[in-house]
Amino acid sequence: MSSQEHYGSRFPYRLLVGVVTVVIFFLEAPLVILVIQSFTAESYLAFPPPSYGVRWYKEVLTSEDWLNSISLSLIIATIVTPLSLIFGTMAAFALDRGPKKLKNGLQAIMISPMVLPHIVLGLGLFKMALELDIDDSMLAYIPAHLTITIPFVIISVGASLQTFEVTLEEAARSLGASRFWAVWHITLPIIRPGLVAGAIFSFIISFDEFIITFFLTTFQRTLPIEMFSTLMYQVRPSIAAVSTLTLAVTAFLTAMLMLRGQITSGNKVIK
Amino acid sequence: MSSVELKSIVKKYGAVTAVASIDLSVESGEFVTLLGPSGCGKTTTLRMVAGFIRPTSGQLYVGGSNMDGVPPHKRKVGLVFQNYALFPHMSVQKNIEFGLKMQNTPFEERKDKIIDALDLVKLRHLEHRMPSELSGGQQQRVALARALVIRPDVLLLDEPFGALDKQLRDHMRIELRELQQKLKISTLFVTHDQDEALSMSDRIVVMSEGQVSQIGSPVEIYEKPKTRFVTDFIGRSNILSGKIETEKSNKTCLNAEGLKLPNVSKTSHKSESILVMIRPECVLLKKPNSKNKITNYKNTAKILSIIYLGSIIQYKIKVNNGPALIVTESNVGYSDPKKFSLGDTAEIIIPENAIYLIPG
Ligand SMILES: Nc1ncnc2c1ncn2[C@@H]1O[C@H](COP(=O)(O)OP(=O)(O)O)[C@@H](O)[C@H]1O
Ligand SMILES: [Mg+2]
Repeated sequence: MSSQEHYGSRFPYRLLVGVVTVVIFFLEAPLVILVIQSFTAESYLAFPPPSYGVRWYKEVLTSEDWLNSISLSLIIATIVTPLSLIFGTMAAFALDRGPKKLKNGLQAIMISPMVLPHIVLGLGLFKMALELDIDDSMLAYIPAHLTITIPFVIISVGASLQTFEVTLEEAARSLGASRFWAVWHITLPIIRPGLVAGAIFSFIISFDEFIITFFLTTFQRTLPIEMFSTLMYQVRPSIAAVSTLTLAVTAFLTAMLMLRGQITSGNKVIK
Repeated sequence: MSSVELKSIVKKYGAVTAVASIDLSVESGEFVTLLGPSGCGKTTTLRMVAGFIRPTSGQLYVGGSNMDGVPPHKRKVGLVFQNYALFPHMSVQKNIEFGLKMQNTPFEERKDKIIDALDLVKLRHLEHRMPSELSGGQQQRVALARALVIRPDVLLLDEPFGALDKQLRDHMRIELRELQQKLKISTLFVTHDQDEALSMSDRIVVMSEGQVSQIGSPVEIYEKPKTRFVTDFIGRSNILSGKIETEKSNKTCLNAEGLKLPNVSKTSHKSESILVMIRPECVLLKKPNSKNKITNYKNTAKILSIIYLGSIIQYKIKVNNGPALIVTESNVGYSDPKKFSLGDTAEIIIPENAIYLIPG
């Protein structure tokens, strides 16, 4: 009621709701269809499926190829996430506390992998990996993933640091904490929402990464690459099942991220 | 031994000189206030003592040791900020405990010290609250307890009451001073509020543009300001340019822009140009033709404006053939028969000891 009064006329408000509904429908509908299809009991994809079952989930979770690629992706993301958090946080501190004059320039350089075409980045990293003879190995995947995950940590931690009251750190230091312990006991706990967001972003992005990894692999396959190769070969319901699993992991992490935001902003009032 | 000593301390930021050669000391148990307008270098000075800013040159001693190259956490200073700076993710008790933990104080001892500190600021009942659940005054008391619990050599406070409302500020002023005297802790206090400085300090350091204008007790600073700046900054005052003149009777007198005053200066050099300071509360207004003892220096004035301020009444008067002056009178009640109205003529009496000369 009040929001309609706020807009003065009901028309723009209804238009807004209409547009948003259409956008959400077009974004979400393919996902919903895919999820439903993954529960087919047939050997082909159809919508709606003539009969339902978890046959394809069984197949995926017993297939060596799928399991290998899933575990490779999980291992990479699990190694990338803490490293990304550490380096990204250190960079965010440097930008926040360093000379103000350099801040904008340095930040632009550090977060540029976010906006650079990944295909160009992939090509560059591929040439380098070949030179160093580390292609098709963790030594290539992890630094490659870090180049694109670190910027997200820099941004999320940087935003937290911007609202952080530096006098809190100074108070801790005057109470006998060295700079390191002041940051450890005071700054990090207070900017935790930014750290958690950075970690979740890093995990999702690494788990999902395709283009750059594609340049660096020969025999090894991460999950997105395995999915891509399977698709090239034939469209089977197992793809839908894997997609649904991936979607579930990503959705779970995103939900945690959003929930955390609510919990922490509630924290400030109550706790 | 001084608790804090600054010797020719200078701080420059490129071409900007924030602090231009300061010498000052805080003796053991003394309450010293840095007083000056915004931007005069008070915070910079305090932060140099705390160790967050490195002086460009000069020597700094805390507790008798040279602080050159000593990081903040190795200096025994307690800091209290204007924004309280309580750790928002820790309870009152944890906030106070933090410094003790950093000093590796054993658990049992920590418990006792926290209780003592809470009692000191009368907040025992709030030890489990979070900072966001406290009022401004309570937060500042926790900050004070947190700084004091580690027994610092010196307590440093940067405009600690600036964020509080006036009544609470007045109250905290008294509380801090009592606490400081009870603990006999050396204190360096920063403020731009002269009332705060006058009411709490053993000594006041008046600063202007990165330099010390005057150091003295509140009485000295208020009654015997040494420079025009201090005079202007501390309290209201009438400042007139004066000349020494010889009268017909061959006696010398002081002519302050037309206001005839007795020559209170020791010299009689007529050429000397001086500033004459008269505090508004020292001027007495009388109804004319009353049977006052007539002095040689009888001036009359016209009431130009009256401002009612509750406890005092402030008049602006124009001395006949002389300057305009601000005069305040304590309000002794509505039915005061001596009350003046706009446009009235009054006889003004300025006691000799209310006239103070500053070298021009
Ligand atoms: N980091 C800095 N860089 C440049 N100038 C500064 C810096 N910090 C303070 N100043 C300047 O030094 C002067 C004194 O500042 P400050 O000590 O904060 O004054 P106060 O606390 O008395 O208001 C001001 O003119 C201020 O602009
Ligand atoms: Mg200041």
